[in-house]
Amino acid sequence: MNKSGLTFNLPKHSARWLAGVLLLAAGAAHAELGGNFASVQAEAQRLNGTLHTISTANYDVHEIQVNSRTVERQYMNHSGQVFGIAWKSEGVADLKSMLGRYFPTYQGGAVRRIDLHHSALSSPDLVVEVGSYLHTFMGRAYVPAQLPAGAAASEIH
Amino acid sequence: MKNLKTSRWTVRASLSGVLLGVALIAGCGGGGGGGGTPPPTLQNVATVTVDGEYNSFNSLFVTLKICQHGSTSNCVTVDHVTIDTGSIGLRVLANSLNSLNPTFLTNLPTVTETASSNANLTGPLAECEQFGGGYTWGSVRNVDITISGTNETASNVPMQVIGDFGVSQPTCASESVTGYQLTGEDYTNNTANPLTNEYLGGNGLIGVSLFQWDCLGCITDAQPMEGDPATPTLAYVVCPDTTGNGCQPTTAALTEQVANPISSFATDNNGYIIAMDAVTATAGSSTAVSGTMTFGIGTQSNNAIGSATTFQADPDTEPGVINTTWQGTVYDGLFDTGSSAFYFTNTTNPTIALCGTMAPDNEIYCPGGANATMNGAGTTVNLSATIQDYLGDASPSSLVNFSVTNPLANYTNSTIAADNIGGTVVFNYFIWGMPYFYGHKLYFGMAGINGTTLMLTRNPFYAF
Repeated sequence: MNKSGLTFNLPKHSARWLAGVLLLAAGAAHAELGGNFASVQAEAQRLNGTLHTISTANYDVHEIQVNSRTVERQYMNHSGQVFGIAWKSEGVADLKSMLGRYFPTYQGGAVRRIDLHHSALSSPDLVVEVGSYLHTFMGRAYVPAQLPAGAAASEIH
Repeated sequence: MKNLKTSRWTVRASLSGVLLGVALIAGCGGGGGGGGTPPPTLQNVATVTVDGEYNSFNSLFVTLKICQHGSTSNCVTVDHVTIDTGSIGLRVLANSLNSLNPTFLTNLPTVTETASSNANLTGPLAECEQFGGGYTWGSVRNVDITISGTNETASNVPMQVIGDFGVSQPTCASESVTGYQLTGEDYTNNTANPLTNEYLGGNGLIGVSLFQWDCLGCITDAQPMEGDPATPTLAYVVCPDTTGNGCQPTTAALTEQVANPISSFATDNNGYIIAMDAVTATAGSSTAVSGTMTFGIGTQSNNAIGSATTFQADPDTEPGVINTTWQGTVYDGLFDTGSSAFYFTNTTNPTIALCGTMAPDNEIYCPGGANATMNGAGTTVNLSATIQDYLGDASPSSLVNFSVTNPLANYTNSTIAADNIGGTVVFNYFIWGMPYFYGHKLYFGMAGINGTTLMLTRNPFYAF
């Protein structure tokens, strides 16, 4: 019940993210697909969220945890480029901000409705999948050509 | 073999020869009383069907009788209304209503903001509602909704008429994830598809989520702030006339909001049970699959919870999730008839391949690979996930088995219902979509909210 005052703030899941916690206070530009660590930091500040980073063999995951309902994960290759983003949000997500330079591609593309609650755009340049249940929105976006070797698209979620 | 690009679970292709006005629902429940005995009370069971009408796939339909509030003459019976447990409220295409009864909308008043209810602008009330597949836009009108085959009536409930205030609304479109209404886009020329049942895949949808209202913030805010950082979101608007031009955001009292009709039933208003016949063939069913929707839980002799196990859903955040543990990870789980597939993230099972690299193929799983042959090795995988209540601790758990098959290899072009299709999901959700429901009986315990204090009076739950 968003907006209802029925906030119980019960702990929902145990922490799944291991790396050190970094509270950020810098930056100006929005984080976006194709961005870099500075833009990740800027996004964490925009969202007033807590940034956790977990490193894998093929990429780093920067998770910005705002609260239990709003989380954003940015997937960055070892060259420092964000190649994928996954998010859930209470209320409509700021796709323009998150997709950045790719937003016009999304806007101009054939976004297919899959069912009442899912739609997707896929092109060689860009994949965007979104879903929504009531006021909870979720989605992921990635640039297929920039997936690091050894990484699968399914790892962005 | 099936071509996903033209398959039923993608955007609706055009379909000719559509039959309107076919009432599906036979009377159910108690027989006729006689000899002075009281009338039977068990008229709380509706027949529901997945019949593929309007080129739909895995869409669950019900028939409704919709009347102008208080009228017994200005009514229309609307078949093929999609039951959506993932949204709230009744939304019906103006085009369908006009086809079924050309004078119904003409005579049906729109909820109107007056000087006393809205200081800035007076006129008809309309709504912008966002779905993952697009948005809906149109007027709000008060109706009495009766579920065909039952005596369950929601009296004086606002519904949304889709497409009576022009075909689009710029702000609503700009906030939409697709930029288009639920009827989608004509990709050849980047224009909106017509607001008709063949593109929607039904004449409307009835949102019967676990919650009664979806915009408590609209009571006080014309554009309620949502999320963190808080962002104003368009919901209800007031318009100077019925053209859809010049509309402005407005607050909406709960009595004006497009709400879950079940909460307004006189009795049997605390939940419902959906029970579907099984689909047994790997290829799915090419004929209609029937089921029942029984209203109320523990209110009649036919809706007792019995030995079913109860799983409390999250009362704090719509849509009210339960935990689902899958491949060793805990996801937010949701039972949703409005989703045509199981949607989950596959991180550990390499046999669950994607059907291709381009939409929609890359959204759907094809075990055995995109080039597998019919009933070829590995084209159907048996899977399981564990359901617990939303806290995930100190609760019962239940292992749920399901299977995912390769639709390219194993479905036909006449497959209209299937219990074994899976798709990729975004973020950390596990969606128990329509495939789950076949062969299952699921209780939806609806949350109770005090309309004055807005406090929770009854926890939402699922039980099976």
